[in-house]
Amino acid sequence: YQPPELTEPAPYFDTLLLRELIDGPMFKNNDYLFSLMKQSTLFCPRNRGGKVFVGPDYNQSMEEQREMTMKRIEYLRDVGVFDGWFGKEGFMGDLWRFSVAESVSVFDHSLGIKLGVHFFLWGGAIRFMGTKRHHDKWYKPTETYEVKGCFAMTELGHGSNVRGIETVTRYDASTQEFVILTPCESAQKYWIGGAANHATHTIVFSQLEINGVNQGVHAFVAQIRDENGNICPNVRIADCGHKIGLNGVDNGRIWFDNLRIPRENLLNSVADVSPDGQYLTAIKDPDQRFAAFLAPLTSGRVTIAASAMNTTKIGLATAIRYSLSRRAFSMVPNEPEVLLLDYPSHQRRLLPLLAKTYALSFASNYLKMIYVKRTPESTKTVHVVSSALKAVLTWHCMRTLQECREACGGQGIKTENHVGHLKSEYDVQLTFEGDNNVLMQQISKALLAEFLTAKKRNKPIKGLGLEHLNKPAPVIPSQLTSSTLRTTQFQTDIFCLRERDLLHRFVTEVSQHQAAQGVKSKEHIFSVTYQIAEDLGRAFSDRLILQTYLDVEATVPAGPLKDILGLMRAMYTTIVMEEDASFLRYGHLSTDNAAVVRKEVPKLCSELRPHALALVSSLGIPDAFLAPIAFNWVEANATFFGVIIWVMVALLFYRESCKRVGASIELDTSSFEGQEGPESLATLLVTRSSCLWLLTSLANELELLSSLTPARLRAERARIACNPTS
Amino acid sequence: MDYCQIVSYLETESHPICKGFYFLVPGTNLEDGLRSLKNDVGVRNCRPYALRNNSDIDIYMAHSHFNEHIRADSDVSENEDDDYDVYFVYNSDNDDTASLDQLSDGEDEVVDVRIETTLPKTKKKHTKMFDDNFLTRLFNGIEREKYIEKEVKGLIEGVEQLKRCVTFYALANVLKLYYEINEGKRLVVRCSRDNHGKSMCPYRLWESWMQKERSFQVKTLADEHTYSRTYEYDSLITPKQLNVLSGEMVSRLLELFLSYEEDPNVKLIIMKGEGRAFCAGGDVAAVVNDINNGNWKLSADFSSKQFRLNYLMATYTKPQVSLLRGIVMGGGAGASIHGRFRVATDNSYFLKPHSFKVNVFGANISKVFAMPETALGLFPDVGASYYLSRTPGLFGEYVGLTGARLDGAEMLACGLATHFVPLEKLPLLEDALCKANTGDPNIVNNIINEYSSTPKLKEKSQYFRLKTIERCFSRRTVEDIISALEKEADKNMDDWIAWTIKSLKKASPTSLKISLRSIREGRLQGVGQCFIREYRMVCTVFQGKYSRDFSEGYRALLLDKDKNPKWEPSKLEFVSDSMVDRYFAALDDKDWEDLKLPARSNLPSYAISKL
Repeated sequence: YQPPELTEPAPYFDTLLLRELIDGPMFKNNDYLFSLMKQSTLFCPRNRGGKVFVGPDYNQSMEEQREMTMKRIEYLRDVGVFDGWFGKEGFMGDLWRFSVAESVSVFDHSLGIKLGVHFFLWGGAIRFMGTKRHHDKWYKPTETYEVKGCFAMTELGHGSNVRGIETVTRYDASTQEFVILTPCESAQKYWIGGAANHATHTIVFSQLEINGVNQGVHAFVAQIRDENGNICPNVRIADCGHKIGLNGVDNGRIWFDNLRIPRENLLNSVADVSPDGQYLTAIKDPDQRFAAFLAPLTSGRVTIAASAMNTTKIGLATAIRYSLSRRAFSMVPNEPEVLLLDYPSHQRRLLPLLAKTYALSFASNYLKMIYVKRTPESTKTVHVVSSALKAVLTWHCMRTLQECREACGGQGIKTENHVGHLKSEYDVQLTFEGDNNVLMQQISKALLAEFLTAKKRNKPIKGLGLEHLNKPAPVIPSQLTSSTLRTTQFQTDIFCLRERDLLHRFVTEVSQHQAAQGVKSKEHIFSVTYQIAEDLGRAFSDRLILQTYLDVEATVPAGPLKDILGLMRAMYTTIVMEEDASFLRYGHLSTDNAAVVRKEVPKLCSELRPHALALVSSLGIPDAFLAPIAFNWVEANATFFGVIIWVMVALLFYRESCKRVGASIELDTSSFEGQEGPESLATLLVTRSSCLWLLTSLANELELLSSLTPARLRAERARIACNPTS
Repeated sequence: MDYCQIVSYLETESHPICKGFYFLVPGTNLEDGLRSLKNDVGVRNCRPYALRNNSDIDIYMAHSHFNEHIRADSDVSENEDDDYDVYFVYNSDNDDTASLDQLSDGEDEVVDVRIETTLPKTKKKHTKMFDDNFLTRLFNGIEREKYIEKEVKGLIEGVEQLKRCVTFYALANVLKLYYEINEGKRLVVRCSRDNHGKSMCPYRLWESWMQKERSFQVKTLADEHTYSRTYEYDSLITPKQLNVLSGEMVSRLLELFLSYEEDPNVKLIIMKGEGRAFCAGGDVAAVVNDINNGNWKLSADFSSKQFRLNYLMATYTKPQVSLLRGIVMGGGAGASIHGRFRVATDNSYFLKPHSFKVNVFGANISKVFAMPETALGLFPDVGASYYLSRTPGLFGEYVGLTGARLDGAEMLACGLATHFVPLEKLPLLEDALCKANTGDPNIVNNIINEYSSTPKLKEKSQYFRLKTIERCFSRRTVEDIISALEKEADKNMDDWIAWTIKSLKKASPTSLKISLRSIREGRLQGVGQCFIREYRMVCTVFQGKYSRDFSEGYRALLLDKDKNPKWEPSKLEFVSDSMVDRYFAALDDKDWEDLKLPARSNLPSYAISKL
């Protein structure tokens, strides 16, 4: 094994600068949290090949994982990470909250989600949907986790279509209480994170029926467990069971059997019910009311998009670092084998994804910024952009993880190497907070609406970056060359042309359908024009991403960093043109030009190749959060025997020392890891005594200890049992 | 004859001087008759005695290590039995009166100088070659070129020249040479003698007198050294200052480490300190002096060298064993912790309570390891942000910020030391390592293990406070840390918490803030990046543009010793984030550039970090 740091050229640009660019203003706070997690034994530090890695123990049972997730949150609370959660104002406050959520997700998605449900969904609902009386009552206990919140929106029968939920709440003026009812099985609240084990309170989304009139979906606060964790009367809770990932989150199902809650528990930011049962609201239109109500919850999509990027970075950093140290096959007999990343095909698999990841990360930062600086006027932009980017970024994440998994070969399968496992951990992001396909179609709908409104008013179109539609269509050179492909002008032109053309086509198709079918509803027309709607959604997102990329690039002074950014932009645009069939399908590229584009890809790959290491270094994921294969994977795999022995010896020592000082025997193996003392002692013991004797006695010791230790040590013991002669 | 003449006579003619001279009043015994011969006054004092005693006076030399004394006799034949042992040793004992214990045992001999006659010839036995002046000259490079010989070769005119040649050869290459045969016309030089007087190294040089050419020539030469050489740290250090790392010393170590890496005969490096300290850190006085004289760049230069040396150690291809006897502080930690093996020991033998005071703390030393920089207006450098941040939990923040002192057992527990060897076994370990003649880290590890034991942490050890430390030192800012500690104190006040809070409140606010951030950043960085960042920080401190706390800390704690530094800014809340940022940015000075780390062929995985 040779570390790529030795074999690769020194970085051509300042990796720290690029990291600041891609991580945004809060990267120091991220580092603080990374540093905390790395140092606590709760985050399972383990030594592999001379480095310490942290990561959850996925070998634990679902219940153990859930408890560990909760313990980690309590630890972070104890050290004051959440202090002032609701107090921090302004956009820096928002950015700080995002930074906390993102950083913990880098350790474990479950941790991020569990925390996100409590602070962003429960806390966010209290903050944005509630008013002062709710803030006063719930902020403090939420921050300290005296109240553990969850968020009951989705039902078995209704997910993305929130307005169709069936739970119903009626008002009882005689007691001034609301009565929440789950009228049928499909109305059971489903996938409620935190509900199965821990949550004490929940936000309930429900139809509000006042005097027999349905006023639409409203949110209420309900207590579901008492302080001792017992489920409250008139509430039933069940577990959602084992999942393909995210098992550290206790998703549950909730039924309400005429649960009574005080009138004040209605989150009344947009509508209220008076004590005598009058429905009061400032926004008469129920559509608008609902939109205003849900708007602030866009934060969920923002964090999902950002977490997706972090996960992508973990995958890419691991796979690329591995491909810079792993070799396979010699080109010439007796020559050294070739580094994986020196194969053009391997470059083609990973490097375009790397460039894309940079582009999408800038877009994710942009999304964060427009969210935290949102105004009532920008609500629509935030909604459209967050929908588009949430979908595009999460898809990109899953695709990249799959590619990285394959690029790592068999090593990608091992859970400790993260890459493969992250796929199942993050799969859910394609679905929650809005199914990606649904979101993509919503973008096209929104674009159509913008276009038609502008046309109707006979005004130039404004917003969402669509201003280019007001200008004449750009002209694409008939014969593309390598240098044309790299110009900003061409890249912008072709992306704008595609968006413009697809939007026009979409408008035409919709109006044709309208003309042909007349009476049928708009929704029906959208459902049959999904093909072009999805292409348009893509075109819009790609153009938006390119735009944000150019904006970032413009802030960088000329120099090596700018050169690299230019190269990656060329890679990003070229790969989009190469991969998305719509360029050919709709004739934005001729077949000849498509061939030029395709030829350009390997060229760009070979140009990016020398920067691969520096570029993954700038991704800013600390080593401890990557995987052993990203570093000395030979050593990481060589010490198997030693590792068991010295873990056991360390345990014995630990127990002895506990006895001596009279402390309770707690599992704290990790504090011994990474140190040579116990390890060398173990080696000594092994060399001096009969191995078999040692193994037997230590295995017995371990048996005693295993009652104190979770599955990890059990597994180690099982391995000894399987292979006693090793 | 004045003092200088005596010194130079002894130095060039026969005996390099290790420490003080003493003369014996004729007719008295060693118990009460020794008088100091330190300067011309001493020479004047001794003259009447000598004159009354047939111009003869016995001169004694103090050597701590071998406890032997040298006799110079007036009539010496050419055929004396020469026996050099080039071995750098310092005496840590600076008392004016020679230790009688030392003088009364060992191979005592008396230097007998006939004062008014021409310089007598000498007889010497088992002596040492060099004094500190010589070393200083050597390391200053003044006479280096002249003296340092890479090999003994060519025609050598006389026996003295030959000896000189051999000696410088030994010195240049740090060899323990001795004469196997020394017959005036025939000289056989061997290397590394064991306890039975046998050579442990194939090196053999046979020089013979050629009557015809009137010179010594090489007859046979087996020019191979396999015996592991040890470079003894302390040989470069003045024990009076508890082994302070000076600029010259760092330069020299840097050169040695570089050349040893190339040298296949060097397999293992042992670092140790003589006297009470392993190493008490950088030469603060010199650094502050330079800064106060407006030469902060000289200080920066010193740090640059020091960091490059530390980086070299961190990425060294050969194992380095540091025997941490006595005090390990600041720069001394840098020179040891980055090596592969760090052997801690119980230092009670050296550090009896009340036996002496160390000025840095103004308190009795009872622990061996400390990073006291924050109290001095500095921050833990020499890679501390790398190794402190990798101790269990938040222990690194605690040690770095408070300057808490750790004993050997605590060092082992938190991983700063890899082994613990009881003091009395330390020499045995050293011998065993030398004998083993191997660079295989596993074997070295096993050898050290044989002498290791598991020390018991003291009942009141701060290491048992890890949970409290984790609760408090995990806070985002120094202010939060202090208030968390104060909350703990409200619940459960004890000496330790009181001390911790006090030391944080006494330290420089700027130092605390930059130290905390440095350690936290270091946790996620590779060792190289840590040095680059610390270099920026240390230069900003030296530059003194934003704060002169370092000079002030030096003044208050080491110079005036009023222990009442006036920090500026004086309170934590006055140190804003943007002020802290400045310490982490590149310096605004056109001649300044970031630390350039030497390219390394060895990057252990723990030394790598991507950012």
